[in-house]
Amino acid sequence: MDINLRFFNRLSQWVNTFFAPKATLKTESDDAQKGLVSLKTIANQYQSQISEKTVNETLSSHFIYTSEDFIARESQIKQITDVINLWRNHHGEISAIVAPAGAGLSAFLGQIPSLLASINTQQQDASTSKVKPLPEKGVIMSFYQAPLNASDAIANVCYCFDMQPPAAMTDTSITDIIIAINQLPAQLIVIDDLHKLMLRMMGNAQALVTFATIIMETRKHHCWILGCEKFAWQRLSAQYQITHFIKHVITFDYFNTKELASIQTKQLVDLGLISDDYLIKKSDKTDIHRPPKKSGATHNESDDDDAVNPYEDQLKQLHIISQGHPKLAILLLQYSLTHQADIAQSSSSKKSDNHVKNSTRKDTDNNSNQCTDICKINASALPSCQDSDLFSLAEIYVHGGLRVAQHAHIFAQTIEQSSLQLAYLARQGLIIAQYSQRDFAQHFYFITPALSKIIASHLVNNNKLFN
Amino acid sequence: MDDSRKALQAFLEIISFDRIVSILLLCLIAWLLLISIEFLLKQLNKALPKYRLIWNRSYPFVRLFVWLSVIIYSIVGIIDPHENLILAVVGSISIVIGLATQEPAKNMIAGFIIMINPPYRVGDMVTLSGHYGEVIKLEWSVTWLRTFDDNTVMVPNAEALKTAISNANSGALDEMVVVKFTLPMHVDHKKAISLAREATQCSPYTFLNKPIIVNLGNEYDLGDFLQTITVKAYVMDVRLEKKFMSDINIRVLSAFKNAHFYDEQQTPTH
Repeated sequence: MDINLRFFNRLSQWVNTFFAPKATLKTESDDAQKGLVSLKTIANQYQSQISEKTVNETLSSHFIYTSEDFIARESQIKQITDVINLWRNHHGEISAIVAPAGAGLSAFLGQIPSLLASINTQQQDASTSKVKPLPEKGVIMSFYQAPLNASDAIANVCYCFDMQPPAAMTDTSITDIIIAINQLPAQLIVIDDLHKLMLRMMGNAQALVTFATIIMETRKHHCWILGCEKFAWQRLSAQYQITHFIKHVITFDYFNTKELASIQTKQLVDLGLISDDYLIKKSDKTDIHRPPKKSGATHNESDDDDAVNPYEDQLKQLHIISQGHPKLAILLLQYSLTHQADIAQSSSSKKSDNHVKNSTRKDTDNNSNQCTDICKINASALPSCQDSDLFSLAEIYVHGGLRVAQHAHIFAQTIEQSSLQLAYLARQGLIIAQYSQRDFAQHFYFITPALSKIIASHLVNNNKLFN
Repeated sequence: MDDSRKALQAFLEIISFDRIVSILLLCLIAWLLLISIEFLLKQLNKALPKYRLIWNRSYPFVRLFVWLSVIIYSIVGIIDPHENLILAVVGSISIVIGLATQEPAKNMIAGFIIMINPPYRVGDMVTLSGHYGEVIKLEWSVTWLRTFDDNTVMVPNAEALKTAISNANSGALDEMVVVKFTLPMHVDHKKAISLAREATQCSPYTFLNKPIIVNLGNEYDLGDFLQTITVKAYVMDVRLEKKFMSDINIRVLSAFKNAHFYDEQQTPTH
């Protein structure tokens, strides 16, 4: 039996039009009042934070990754230590660390120099002559441009060893380079953002093969550790069978509730919302039953309670909303705290309904009620993207960013069309632009790091990215 | 005379006003239920397009189940006929099956067979009775296709079962696409194969989780020996099939032209 849905389609259209938001200028505060934060706002927050951070870092000239801020990943640290030890014992193989974008892969790789130092100290006494000496420091590199021919690939490898690339490519160039590299003192080379070496352009396949050959032929002498994004790794595995050449693949995902809470607690301490004592007590497991001191908090919990963070509910909410993405969680927390008044205004009506029920709750709950709710994400910009936009996002995501000219090449369209399309996505806050002052075709666009998880999930759902 | 009067009375009892209203009400509820389910499935399609084939293919089964339930409940629960009447109905059904050579009944039975043992499902790209397109609706008696020219084609189910069916994706979202190129015999075939593979790999619509196969062949056409390069690759979504074919053509031909495979007068493209 056929059902004619024309009437219902019209009815549904009418209902949608009726309930659709009217065309008025929407402000950030409007969204915040609804307890929401748009993707565009997150992108803006991220950009403003990054520019501030860059200025501070330039002034202080501190190393970007410190071990103080590094948490969790214990088993992965152990695995990478084993890999380095295996290499020292002349069983060197290429290793890769695979993690989704924004899960802290670069931060993890940034720990390798301090890891080397700790291995050195631990094994100074036990060292034997058979064990390969550890290099004084590791080299961490990330390539800016993908190679598009064998000569580019050779040049990239030469940069790792601070060597001069050969002026011209000959039949023996690869062999010569391998011999030269194997004669250098042993080094530990970490290549971050391996996905940036992969580009969907003609010539890149041969370049990757050349690059892989040199690495494979020098793996016994030098310790190679590669860091790659999860979906790009999947693509490399499917197309180049990269897993056949890499023996140790270490993986990790976004942070779990506990780990994320630990990061956010530090953030709360930095903001002065909870005291330093809390962090110290939290880390000291033996003192967990002692009542914590909290600055400015009206916390009257019973003596037998553990050290309950007054923001515990918010931290759980943060994990659910951010799905363990640390950068997103930090931005959401900051935004929610900044727009506390707006959110409280909207939630006060809801909470008043349950006031009677809540009156019997414990004091800790009253305390957390004083804290703000965490804004939820308004991701309506993503479903409004067309198929072509999603394909662009997928390629930008997997490549770790694209120039306008590269985008035009990949999608076989004009540079002007690509420029307009990318500008549209940037206006939606889905990608961030790094403008070139010389040529608009050289503008570089990359996925807003805080939104990487949300965008990747949407792309997977829409069949544009594959696990 | 008495017997016929009793039979008429029994029949009038069966088609009493109450029962007819009950059956109509039941049909209305079933209809509304199906509309709600269809609406929900459409919403699911929007929310999770990756699984659209699963949602779409479940609807014919749900519809079959709902209407069968309505029919069974109407007979057993509402009409509640006498045993003799049931026997008579069974006899009638046997006659219907006997008359299945008649087109409508044949189509319905074919539709039932297609649902139970499906050679294709909603969302598949198939060739039915010479028409190639996506199965958009699977009904009891007919199958609806949407071709790449945006035509909607109705194929009777009996017709679909009678002929060979070519199914391009068999329930998966990805689908193999085959594109053939011809080159002059003097061209370096190894380089041609390598270029064709890499150009296909560069297409953003290529499903990279499955292999790209490039085959070399040769043929004799219009007095010339030619070599043929056949690219077999998977497209990410069946709906992008034509776009993908065109994209492969653009990329591979550009690569071949840039390698000067065709002639000296051609213009290199980028």
